[in-house]
Formats: sequence, structure tokens, C-alpha cells
Amino acid sequence: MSQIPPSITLTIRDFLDIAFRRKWFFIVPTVILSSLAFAYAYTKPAVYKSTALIVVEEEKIRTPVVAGLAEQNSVLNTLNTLLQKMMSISELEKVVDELYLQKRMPKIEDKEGIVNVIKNSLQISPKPGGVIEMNYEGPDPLVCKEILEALVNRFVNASLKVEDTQTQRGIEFIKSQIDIYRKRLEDSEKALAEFKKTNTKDLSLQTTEAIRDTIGFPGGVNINVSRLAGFEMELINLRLQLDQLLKQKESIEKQLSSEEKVIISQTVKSADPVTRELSNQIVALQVKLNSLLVDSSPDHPEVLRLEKKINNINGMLEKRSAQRVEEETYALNPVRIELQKRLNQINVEIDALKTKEKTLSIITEKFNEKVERLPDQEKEYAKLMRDYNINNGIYQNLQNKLEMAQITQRLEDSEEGIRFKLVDPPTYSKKPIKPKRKRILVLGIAAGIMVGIGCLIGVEYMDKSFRTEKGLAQLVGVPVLSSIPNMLSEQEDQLRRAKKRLTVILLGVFVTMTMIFVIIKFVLKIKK
Amino acid sequence: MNMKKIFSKVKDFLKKKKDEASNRHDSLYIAKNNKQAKELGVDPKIVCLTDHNSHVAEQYRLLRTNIQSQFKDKPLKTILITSALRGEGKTTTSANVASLFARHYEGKRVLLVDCDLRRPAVHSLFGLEHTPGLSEMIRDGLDYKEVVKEKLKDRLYILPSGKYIENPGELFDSSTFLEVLRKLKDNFDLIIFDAPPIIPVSDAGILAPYSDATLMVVKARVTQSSDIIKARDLLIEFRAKLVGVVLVCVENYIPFYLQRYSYMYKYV
Repeated sequence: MSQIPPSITLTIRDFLDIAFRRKWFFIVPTVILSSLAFAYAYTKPAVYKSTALIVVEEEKIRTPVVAGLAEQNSVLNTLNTLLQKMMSISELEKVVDELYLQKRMPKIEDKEGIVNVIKNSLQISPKPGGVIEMNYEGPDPLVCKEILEALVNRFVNASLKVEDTQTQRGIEFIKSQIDIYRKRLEDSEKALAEFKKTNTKDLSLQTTEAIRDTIGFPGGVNINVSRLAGFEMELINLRLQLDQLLKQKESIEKQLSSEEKVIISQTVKSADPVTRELSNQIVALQVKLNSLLVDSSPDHPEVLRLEKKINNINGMLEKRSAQRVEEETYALNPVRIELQKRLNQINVEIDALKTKEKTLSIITEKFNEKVERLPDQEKEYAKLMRDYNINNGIYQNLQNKLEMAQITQRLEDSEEGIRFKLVDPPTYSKKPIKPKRKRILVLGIAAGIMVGIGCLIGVEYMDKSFRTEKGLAQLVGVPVLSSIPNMLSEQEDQLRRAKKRLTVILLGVFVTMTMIFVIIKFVLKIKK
Repeated sequence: MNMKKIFSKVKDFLKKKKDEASNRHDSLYIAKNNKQAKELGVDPKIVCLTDHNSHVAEQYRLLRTNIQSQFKDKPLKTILITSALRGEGKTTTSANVASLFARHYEGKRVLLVDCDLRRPAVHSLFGLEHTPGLSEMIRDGLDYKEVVKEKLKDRLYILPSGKYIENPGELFDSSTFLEVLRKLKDNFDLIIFDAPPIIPVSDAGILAPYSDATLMVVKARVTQSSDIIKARDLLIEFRAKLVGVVLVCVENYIPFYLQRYSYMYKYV
């Protein structure tokens, strides 16, 4: 005979029967988990959020100041440095002291604990369009706002200092170079004067001109030596630029490889497209205004027009940010993309400079060969002239750069050159963002129902008994002669009812205890 | 019509529906210690004696009819009732089947023998002492007249298990038992054996070949398929004449207000 029990097709009636028979498997987990969810939702402390928006202005203003001179950092590098500085323990400890957080956060024992809490509660999300969003979450809305305010102020001030320091460093460097080249220029002037003094008789213009013509210096020795000096100077500058670019390339490659360590969150929240567009417009106008202010007075009609336009857009931006919709999306890391873009640009520049260097080297060598063919006296004269011209050229170049650096410093001092601008100051919201009570309750009930259904299915799956005569005859191979209803004596019936009552009472007690716990917590909270 | 009247009408309607649902063949039966049970001194669960109009008694009648229909052309002298495991309702079924046959066979004598010497229960259902009984008959050679108790005059007789003995299987396998059985068959028209479960002990298997019909009791929602198959195979192995299965403790959990009207049975 077959050992395999026959498969029975279940009808709606069977499902109903199972549901009612096993109802406690369903009710108990649902009630317990719903009660726990309720207790969790209503006893978890409320969390408030303060948000601030900072616009990152691109490095267009700064570039002429230190280009080719000082160690040039990208916006992202600076941002990273600033964030790290802002989040440093010493800075955060200052914030704790300033805001008397040890008194206001009595639950946390020491300063270090508060610093850690601040670190964990702050979220920084870069958004497309050069906007950085800073969020701070905590149990007190006012404390949240104040902490974020302190941090944001530190961040913006630090960005100004970084700019200033960089420009100052650039100026100092230029000045030191000017001193070196002034000395060299003086030396070469002195040497040339001395040479002219001792060799005036021998260096009659006519003879020298004749010699030059014979050995291939048409146009005179002065012109050719000047040209050689010009080429050599250009070559030196070019090599300096090349060195700088190679250094930059190395630094960017290093940064690219360690990009994951950057504290900026990888999760990027997409900004409102209108806000983004307005922010971009402001940045563009600001850049235009700054460039204009280099050679125009603040009362210039164009300057005034631009300022008015920026103010209008700022107003629109503030209105827009009030109704901003938060939406979480995932985007590629903008820091990495920016770095990659910059690296590609540098590679192209390096290639172009290398080609130029090659051409210049050939030309310079050609002229050197020509100078080598001159008689000793002329050769000496040409060499002195060349040194003088080179030193003079570099000296002039440095003077120009110093002038530009000083202009830029003045620009920065007038606060027109800031790179991180606070668009939305930290908000103060009385409506907590957490706990999301409705969601927790729905999830708790859903989890209870799921667990209940899981238990029910599990128990039913393991139970291989027969509820009705359906399939039994097929299994045994003999007819089912009768199905006798369940008979219970009065005592058994009472026991059964008592069991049910006990389950209901226990559940009721559990629910009541949960409620009491929630109420006690609530009362204690109000008392506090 | 005021609210009180509406409530009372709703209440009446629900009560009526509930009563109708309770008459269903698969609804729960509460065996109350009624007047008849008290008069007879039996357990109210022997519904065929205490409440023979109930839907449960009707199901037992159906069982009797189905057994009889299989023995139209051959004599039915002995019925063995067993189950796969303990506590599945053998004794209640045996008591009810015996009572029903006793009522049905007018002028014929029906004997219910408690063959479960390990856990005897028949005597308690009928409010009797379990000694002297079957074990004394076999071991001490007592006459059936000394041990068999009459429950319904000239109709239903009970033979309790008697004293507990070490190895009942050996007792049933002895020639003395065969002699006792022959005597009982001579003096009673129908003998019903309430045997122990077949899987844990072999007593039912030893008794099975001496029975004209074997019934296997299966407890709804309790007896697992594997145990049913095992019990069936053991019975076949012991050459039992398995005529059918009785499914007991069937219960419908769907509330009466959800049950379909077409399922109702009105026997009252």
C-alpha cells in the first residue's frame, strides 16, 4: 500500500477553518508586537533637525593670485580640509564651552562624550550645483540650531582664513623671489658695466658688426642675445610650470586613490532644480562682479546693476528654500568626478607644455651654437647680456605677479572673494523628525501579522493530522464509517474556556502593562 | 420600535442560528450530566444511552448502519476497536457502539469487554468497579457470570479489565483466553473488544484475528498521517479484518454566523 499521504486540495472553507482554529497563533504575536511598537513609538525621545545650506563658489577669483606660484589647492581639497578642521576635537570642544553644552546636556557625562555626540549627529551632504547641506539632529531643537550655527560660522570663517593665508603665502613667496632676482639683476648689471668699461676700445661697433655678419649674426649681437635670453627665460618659466603641473597631478592622483576616506557623505541629496539654477546664477554673477571690481570702482553702474541682480536672486532663493522638498537620491561622488576632470585637464596641459619645451630647447640650442662661434670677448659680452636679460625678465614678471597678488588680497579683504557662502542659516523646527510614530505603529502591526501568519503556516505545515474525513479513506484504504463530533464533558469545556480566558487575560495584562509603562514615561517627561 | 425590542430580536435571531449550527454533524457537543446519565449511572459521554436524539448519537447510528451493511451476508459476532496511539477515543467509541447495538438488537445480548489491562477505562464510563474482570477470568478461571456486569437489562453487559497483570499479551495468546472467548461467544450475541492502541503494545494485534471486524479510531487534528499508516500496516500484519475507520473529535471552528445554511442538519 502507498506510504505517501494523499494530497488534499484545500477550499476556502478549509482556510477559514484553519484561520479560526489557529487564531491564537495569529492574535498573540500581532497584539504583542503591536504593543511593543506602540511603546517604542511613544517612549522613544523626539529628535529635532536643524538644516543649513552653504553655496560653494568656484575658484575663479583666486586663480590669478597664486597660479604658478603657491601650492594650489582645489575647492574640494579646501572643502575637505575645512570640514576636517571644523570637526576637529579642539574646535568641537570650543563649541561645547561656548554653548555651555555640559550643563545643557546633563545626560552625557564628559566633554568628550558631547563631542562624540556632535560628531555623530552632524550630517554633511554635498548637493549637485555646488551646494552643501548641513544637518544636525538632536533631542533639543534650540541646542540643535545653536550647535549648527556655531559649526557653520566656524566653517565659513575658516574658509576666509584659508583664502587669506594662501594669498599671503603667495605674496611672501613672490617677495622672496623678487629679492633673489633683484640681487641677481644687480650682479649681472654690475658685471656687464664692468665688462663694457674694460673692453670699450676693443668692442668697436663696426668691427663687431663685421664679425657678426661673417659668422651669421645678422641684425647685430644685441638683438640675437636678447632673443636667446628671451627663449631661455621662456624655457625656465615653462619648466617651472611643468614641474608645478606634475606636482599637482601627483597630488590629485593621491587624493583620487584615498577618496573614500573623505568625510563627505557619499549619499547625495538632490537639490530642488530651481534652487540649484538660482544658486548657479548667483555664483556666476558673483564671479562677474568680483572680476569687475578688480579694475572698477564700487559705484560703477555695472557693479551696482550686478549687485542688485544678486540681491534679487538671493531673495528668490530664500523663498524657494522655505518650500524645499527633501528627496533622497543616490548620485556619483561629485568629489571624485571633479578630481578626475581636473586630472584630465592637467594631463592635456602637461602634454602641450612638453611639446613647447621641446621646440624651445631646439631653438635655444641653435642660438647657443651661434653664440659659441663668436670670438671669446664677444662670447663673454653675449653671455653677460643674456644673463642680464633673463634676470631682468624674471624680475619684471615677479613684480607683475606681486601686484596681482596684492590686488587679490585687497579683494579678499573686502570679503568679495569668499568661496563658501551661507545661503540658508540653520533652521529652528519645533516639529520633531523622529520617531515617526505612525510608521512605527504600522510596521509593528505588519510585523505582528507577518509573524502570526508565519507561525500559523509553520504549525499547519508540520501538522499532518486530519481535520475531516477528506483524504482519510484514501490514505488508509478502507472507508470512513463515521465522523463523530468532538464531545467534551462539562469540566473539559470549562477547562477549555478557562484556557481561552487565561490567554485573553495575559494578553490584556501585557497590553495594559505596556500602556502603563508608556503613560509613566510620558508623565515623567512632562514633569521634567 | 424601541432599541430594546430590536436588541431582543437580534439576540433571538442569533440564538436560533446558533442552535441550528450546533445541530451540525461537525459541531462541538457538550456532554452534560443529564437525568438519564444520572439514572443509569453512566458517563454523559455515552450519548447513545444518555442523549440518543443528539447529532452525535446520529453519527454513531450512521456508524452502526455502515458496519451492518458490510455484514449482511455473514455473521457479526465480534468487533475489535483500536487506535494508533493512546487517548484517541477508543473507549468512548466502544461504549457508544456497544450501547447502540444493545438498543438496536432487541432481545439480543451485547457484551463490551475491556481488553486494555494496562489502562482500563470502560468501568469508569459505566460507573463500575474494574475488578473482578477479564484478567481474573483468564488467570483464576472465574465464570463469566461472576465477572460480567449487566448495564441494560438483558441487553448490555460489561466485562471490566480486572486486576493489572504484568504481560497481558501473553495472557491473550494463551489457550485459556481462547476458552474464555468461546464461552463468551456462546453466551452473548455480539462481543465488542475495547483493545489497547496498536502501535505501543501488541495486545490489539493478538486479539485482532479473533474478531470478525476491526475498527480503527482516528482522532481528528491529533493522529498524524504517519501513525495512521503505521497502525494500518500493523493491523494488516496481524491479519485483522479492518472494515473501516472512525474519525472522532471532529470539530468545526468556523463561527456559526459564517456557516452556510445548506450545511444544517435538523434532527431535533
